[in-house]
Amino acid sequence: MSDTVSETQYLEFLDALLAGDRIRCTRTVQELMAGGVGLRMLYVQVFQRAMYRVGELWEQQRISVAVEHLATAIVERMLALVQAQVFTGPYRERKAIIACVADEYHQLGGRMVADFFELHGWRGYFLGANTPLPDLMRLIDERQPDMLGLSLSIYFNLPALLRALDAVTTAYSKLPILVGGQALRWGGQKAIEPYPNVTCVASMDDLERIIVQ
Amino acid sequence: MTLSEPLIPAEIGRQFLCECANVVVLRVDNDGVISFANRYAKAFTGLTLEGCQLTDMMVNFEPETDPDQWRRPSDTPRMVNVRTVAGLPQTLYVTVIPVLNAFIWFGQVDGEEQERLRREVLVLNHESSQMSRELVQKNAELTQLNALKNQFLGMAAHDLRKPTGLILTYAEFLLEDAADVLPAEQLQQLERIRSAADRMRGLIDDFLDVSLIEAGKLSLNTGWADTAQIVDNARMMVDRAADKRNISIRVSLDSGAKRLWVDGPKIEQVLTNLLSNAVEHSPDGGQVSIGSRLEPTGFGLWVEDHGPGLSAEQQNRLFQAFAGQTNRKPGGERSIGLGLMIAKKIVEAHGGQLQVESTPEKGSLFGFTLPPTCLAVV
Repeated sequence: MSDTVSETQYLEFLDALLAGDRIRCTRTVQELMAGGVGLRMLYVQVFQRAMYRVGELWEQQRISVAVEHLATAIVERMLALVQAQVFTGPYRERKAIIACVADEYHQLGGRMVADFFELHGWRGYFLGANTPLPDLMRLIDERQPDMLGLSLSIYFNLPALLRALDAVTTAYSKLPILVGGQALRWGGQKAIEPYPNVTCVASMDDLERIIVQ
Repeated sequence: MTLSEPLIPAEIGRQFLCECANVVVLRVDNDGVISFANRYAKAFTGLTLEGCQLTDMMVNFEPETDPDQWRRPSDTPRMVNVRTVAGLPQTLYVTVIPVLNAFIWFGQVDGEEQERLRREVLVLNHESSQMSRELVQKNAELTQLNALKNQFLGMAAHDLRKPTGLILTYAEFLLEDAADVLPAEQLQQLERIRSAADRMRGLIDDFLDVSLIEAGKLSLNTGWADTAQIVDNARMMVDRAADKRNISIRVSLDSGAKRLWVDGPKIEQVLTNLLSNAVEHSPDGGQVSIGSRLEPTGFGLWVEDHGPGLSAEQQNRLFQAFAGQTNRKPGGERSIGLGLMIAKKIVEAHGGQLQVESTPEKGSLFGFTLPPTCLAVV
């Protein structure tokens, strides 16, 4: 029993993922968990690492959009496979809302972040892809979270993110906001700097440091 | 490029259509037999195609349809449902061009339609995945809140037990010591205090039991217990109430099972609950029967009354905690419906089953069975 993922195990998962073989992916995940790999390790060393690689291959035009979409759907299925364990444990008092901004359809990263909050003893509400701003505002009002996370995968959706930040920081000036996602690799941090209480999160390690504070 | 040179030479176009393009190209003879299929047509259908009837590759739900319709030229592409290698039918938009003794069939998937489908499937998959997460999360929240509720219930019941016990004890002392000095009206008030405290202690005990059961902490302290003694003790608990209303209790036990390997006080609690319910729901002057039977499959003990009975709907809700909150006993007091739920859990913890048979206006029979492992035939 060991909470580590070997290179062979990771490559086996990636190979199955690129082949669109959900059965083999499921088997690999089940074997990893039976071998003592914890959820955090599974999320970071398998799911996140594999999806970053899938993204690179797509950007390099070595795999098609269809392969990338199928890989995403399979990883979402893997998250569903383990999600019962994500929510176990005692009652959570602190709450975080995680959402993808309007027109943002890449929800996998945001969902993993919401699960990460759960793994660290928070209630992580995930609002899903393409959350319209009025819905986001209504849910913040209803659930009164201790933190808000906004995910941005496509750089061209930056204006939607800024609109959301304008609205949320005006209505809830003290609410800490995290912004993360692959789009921020291409810039955007400068546009976020003027907002008070908004932190750019570059990695899951960064996220963990903030969550446990 | 000269004027006579075509923009795309015919041979290059033909070769592309036959070998590379994602377009189904067939040459179909006038008798409906496919005489040529391009690479994509074969890969798309997973069939050899050449030599097959054109209709063999179609999904046709209307056998009466004129097969020649697939050969007639039309001004706009016509929808044709085709079998595919993936096992899922696909709609091709087909253009038919007649040539000498045959016709050429060009079939294409509508790219725009596919794009719309892909987007919608993606969104639906997101929504379904999101809903599934919410469902699991809400389940976890409910489980956690239920655990908190049980913890609170257990703490509250534990803290209330002692003061309630003191009220009961002092009320009993006063009833004994001051019986000669207090006027009858005050004695009656004192008796009401004692009776209310007694009922409250019973409720608190039920709450404690429920909090333990819900927390999965119901433990059995098993040992040999005398069957007749269990019945006598339970009967003693209800004798007073039965006497008050002139209800007789008849006992008929099977002599085969004199001792049981059970948690005696808990089985006694079960029987007391059944017996007390039977007395409460019996008409004045009625009769309640206690019986037992030893069978190869185990030991059965039951309590029968001739009260108002229960409808099928009432029977369905009997063993749910707090399901009886709207019930009123014949004496007018409210029942919170925990007793039977606790009894059921205790019996199940012994490996047995608690059952009810009831007919409205005729009465009810509540009984439980215990497995052979709980038996000692002496």
